Amino acid sequence: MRSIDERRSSDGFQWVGRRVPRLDGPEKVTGRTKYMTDLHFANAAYGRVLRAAHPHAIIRRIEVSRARALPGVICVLTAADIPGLNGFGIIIQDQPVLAREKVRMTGDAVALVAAESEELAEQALALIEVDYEPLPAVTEPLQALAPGAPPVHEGGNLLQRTTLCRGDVARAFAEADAVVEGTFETPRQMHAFIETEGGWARLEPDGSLTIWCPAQAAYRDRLQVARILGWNPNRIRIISSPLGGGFGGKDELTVQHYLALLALHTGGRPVKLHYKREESVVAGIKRHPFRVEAWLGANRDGTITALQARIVVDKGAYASLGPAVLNLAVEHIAGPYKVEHVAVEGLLVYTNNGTNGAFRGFGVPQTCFALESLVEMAAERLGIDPLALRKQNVVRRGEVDGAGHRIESSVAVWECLDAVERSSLWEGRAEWVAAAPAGKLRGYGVACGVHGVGLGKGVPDFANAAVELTAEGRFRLLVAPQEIGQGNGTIYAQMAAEVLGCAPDEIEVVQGDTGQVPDGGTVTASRGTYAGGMATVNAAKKMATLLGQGAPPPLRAEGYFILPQAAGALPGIIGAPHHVCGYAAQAVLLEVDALTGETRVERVVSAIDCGRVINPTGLEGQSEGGVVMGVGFALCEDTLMEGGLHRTRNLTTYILPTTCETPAIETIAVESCEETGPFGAKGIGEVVMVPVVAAIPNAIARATGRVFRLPATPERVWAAMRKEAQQP
Amino acid sequence: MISFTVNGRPAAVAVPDAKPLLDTLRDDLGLTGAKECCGKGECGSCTVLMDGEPVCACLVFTAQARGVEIITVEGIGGGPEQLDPIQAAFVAEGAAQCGYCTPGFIVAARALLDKNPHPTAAEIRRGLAGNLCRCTGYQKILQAVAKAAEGRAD
Amino acid sequence: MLLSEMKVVAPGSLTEALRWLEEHQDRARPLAGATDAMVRVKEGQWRSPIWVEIRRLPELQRMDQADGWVTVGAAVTYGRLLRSELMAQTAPLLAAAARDVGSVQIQAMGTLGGNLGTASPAGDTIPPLFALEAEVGLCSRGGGERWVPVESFFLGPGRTVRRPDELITAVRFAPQAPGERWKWQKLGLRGAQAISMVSLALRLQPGFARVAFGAVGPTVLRARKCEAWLSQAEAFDLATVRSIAQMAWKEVAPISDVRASAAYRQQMACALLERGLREVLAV
Repeated sequence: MRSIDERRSSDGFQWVGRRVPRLDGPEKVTGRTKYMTDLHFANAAYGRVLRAAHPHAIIRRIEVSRARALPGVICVLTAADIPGLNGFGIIIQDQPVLAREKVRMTGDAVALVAAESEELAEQALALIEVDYEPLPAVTEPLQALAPGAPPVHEGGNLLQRTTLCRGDVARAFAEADAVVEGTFETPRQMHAFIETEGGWARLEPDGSLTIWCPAQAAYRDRLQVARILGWNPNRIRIISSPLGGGFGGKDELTVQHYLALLALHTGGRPVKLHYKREESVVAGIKRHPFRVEAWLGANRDGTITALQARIVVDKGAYASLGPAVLNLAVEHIAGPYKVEHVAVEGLLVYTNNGTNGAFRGFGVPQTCFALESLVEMAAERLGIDPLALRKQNVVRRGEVDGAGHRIESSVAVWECLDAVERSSLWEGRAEWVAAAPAGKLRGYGVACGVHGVGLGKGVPDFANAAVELTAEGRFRLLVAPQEIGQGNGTIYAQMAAEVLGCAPDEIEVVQGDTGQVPDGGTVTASRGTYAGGMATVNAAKKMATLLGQGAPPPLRAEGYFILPQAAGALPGIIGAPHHVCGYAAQAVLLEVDALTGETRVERVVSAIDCGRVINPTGLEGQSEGGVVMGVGFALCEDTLMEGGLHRTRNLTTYILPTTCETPAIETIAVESCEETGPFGAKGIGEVVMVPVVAAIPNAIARATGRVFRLPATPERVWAAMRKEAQQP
Repeated sequence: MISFTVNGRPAAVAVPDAKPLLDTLRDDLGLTGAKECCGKGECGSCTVLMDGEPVCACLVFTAQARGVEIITVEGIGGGPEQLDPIQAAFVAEGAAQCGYCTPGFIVAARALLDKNPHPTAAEIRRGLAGNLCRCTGYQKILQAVAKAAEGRAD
Repeated sequence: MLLSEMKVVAPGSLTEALRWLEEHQDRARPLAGATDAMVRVKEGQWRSPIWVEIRRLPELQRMDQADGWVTVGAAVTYGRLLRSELMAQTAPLLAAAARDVGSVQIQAMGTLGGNLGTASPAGDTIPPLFALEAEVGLCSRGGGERWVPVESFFLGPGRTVRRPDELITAVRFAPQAPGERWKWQKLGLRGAQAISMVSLALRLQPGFARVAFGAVGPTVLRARKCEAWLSQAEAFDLATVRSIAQMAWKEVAPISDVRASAAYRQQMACALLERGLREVLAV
């Protein structure tokens, strides 16, 4: 297999496939980059949000007169001050902007304050009197479904039920040579972007509103804010790039709506909000905790024949993107395997446990942990090499996957597994395990995974971009997806440069400003490089045509891209199937302390089917970052809650991996060339963290005993080890 | 007034004694390179050098900075056109993604290499363990610092 | 008390610092590295009207050895401890613990006196000080200097015998014997930058043993039964080591919290002792 760098010389591309250094690198490493939360305006007002005192309670009365009377307070706002809809949510607007009658989580906003200083704003919060009538908190999804459980919303606690049924699972299980089962639980992972939610807003002299706020969907945010204000969206400009990290956590509105409301009451003064980490923990969305009860059947020849699963999702208090998360989890429940008999029921259940939403992986890491644990258990039961078993069952182009969808796009998951198999990690695994020092137990683990690119079947998904040639003779590329860290600005410049015949650094890239860029959709759903890239290429081609015709500057050319939709459909599952998917296979070497259950991931190999590599450094960056986020999910990260209250309050008790936990990671690019993507590229921003969350528990199982609940903290591994030791 | 030196220049600020130094640097001196992420000394995003030692500016009372010398990321290297070797290595290796943690890493790495110009891989890991990054998985950061250290040896 | 109303005074000498404490008693707090103080202030606690800055007081910077005592000033930072040649020779156990405190950033500011004053049962320098049978020096204007055995210094989590007019000025202890076997171990939720779930300071000489556990009780605890058996054991085989380590189970009183359950902590006290003993005894 050729390395990423060796390959490019034969491709004939000047920029695509090259390690072009990030265009924003020098600004970032010198601290010059101005994030939205770094901006400072003269004559500023400072905002704060009052949060609910209980996870579940009726609001009897809110009294703000004492807060309003505090000298230095500019305004105090409650639900009564919302001109438009008091609700938000990407799919269902069930989350109040400011709670009026009821609170459903401690993160609920009850009132807003703007004052002359942050300290005054905080004092004012303490002067707002809210009279609550506490209700029993609903904290266990299974109990929330029981008859008589207190309803979080009027319609009851079941927000959505998604099912997928094909073949005859009952017969398939009866005929299977091996059936394995387990119940798998996953953590309330926190995005833990380094930049907490924040920004600025200002009512402009012409009556329009400008919002500066790091976000993943500026145009959609603008619509949501407009609905809350009862305004024409064209009067709102949102500047949303760059972000200090997002990972899905800035996909839903974060502070834009609060900023907008405050800015209407500060007499034109710019107003700032910037959450402390503690507020971000309480108010921000998290990854949905899943409980997956599943059975997998396989034949002696290694064919995986049947999968049955019941997924119960802790939705938290509000829908946000939960319905789409559950749908994607169901679509990908069988991973990249050709399982013929599948029966899945997924339940999305309201609780008072904060609120959950989009997070890199979007439901797939949770189900991958269950599936790939079962695949490993089946391989063990059947005495088949776990990697060979996977290679035998993965889907190839033209074949039908477990969801019943015929794959008509690029797929190289077999090749990813093959690349892992040929890696030095895999070849040396037995030797490494055998060399365990005294007191240590060693294991290796592997898993593979799939993740859809774009929003999927039945959800309109498009991108636009514009290329300008200024009167001064400089190219400007205007594209919606924000610079969230992955380096898409550089990728877009590489693609445009390839088409225009200039150098990437000769192109100024403008992202995420609704005042400048055309609506090109979100920086989510592994769609940035694929969708934004195609719009960029199409715009650049039009510009090249104009230039070829000898048109004089200034020039502007727009390009668009409508994401192709899958031919088939999965009835009842909005967003499924996805026409294009990214695939990955990952393997790990892991060591367990035999006395304490402490774990250490020594090495990881990460083979990614990315279609085509646009920038190897960028691909490695995604792969390495995804792997370590997966290490955190598997081994240490969880936002603990009890009775609807957060026990994990900040980064002191939320345990993120550090430089000392990061393993040596080798990334292998497997190029399948996706014909609908820019230069053959497709999205991999999410699949990079999917298999590793199962490869790690598989390695733990091989070293000691199997864990069914993540994160596999030292205490849980120790318990698994004891259980294993007690078995005859 | 509280007086100290920032990036070689004298600074005097009229702020509350207990105002976190980070806020003073960002709000009152316009130096927004250092960031707040956790506010509790867990993440290193606010790392600055105080009399040559890397400290979390979010945990320092501004009054404690009286008379000291502060170096922020803005005082390392000569700006985007004249990068410090560590900064250049971060760019070359792709060690900055979203970049919000990067200033803290640059300052912490500078402190590490100033004390120990030829660190082992383990010493680099240890020296940067107080800085959290959520994008990169750290590998490219560790490589960049190792590379910068090698460059100095030449 | 608002953050903006708090005053920091910077006395130039120990005498002056003690005068501030005496005059203002409960209204004043010593301010050393601020790594705990600022966290508490931000959480709305410790809103003391007056903070007496002691970080740079020359009287609190000493690190010396005389008359059988090694003395470390209260304002000595973890960073200085772990880099000190004197500590490497006389108290490598303490230096090893200092290396495990927080991050380099915390080590640059945080002080030994601060770790004692905060009095967390998980404070990493405290188990070594228990194992060293150190004494804590307290000074006040009215009462002069007194030395308190470290085991008597702590009353409970966050509570010590220090009176409001007193300042922790130094810690002193007899040096570790040359050739003594010792081990510092810490179990956290990750390898670096972690608050201890359990920690262990172990010292072993022929006929002499000191075992102190952190984070498994309201204060750091000495495991005296383990010590007695270790000092009396004639030979250490694996079975002996294991049975002595198991005794730690009865000598600790952990609670469950966000980091670990009490049951796990209790088992881990034994596990750390077993691992530590096996390492230093090579069994």
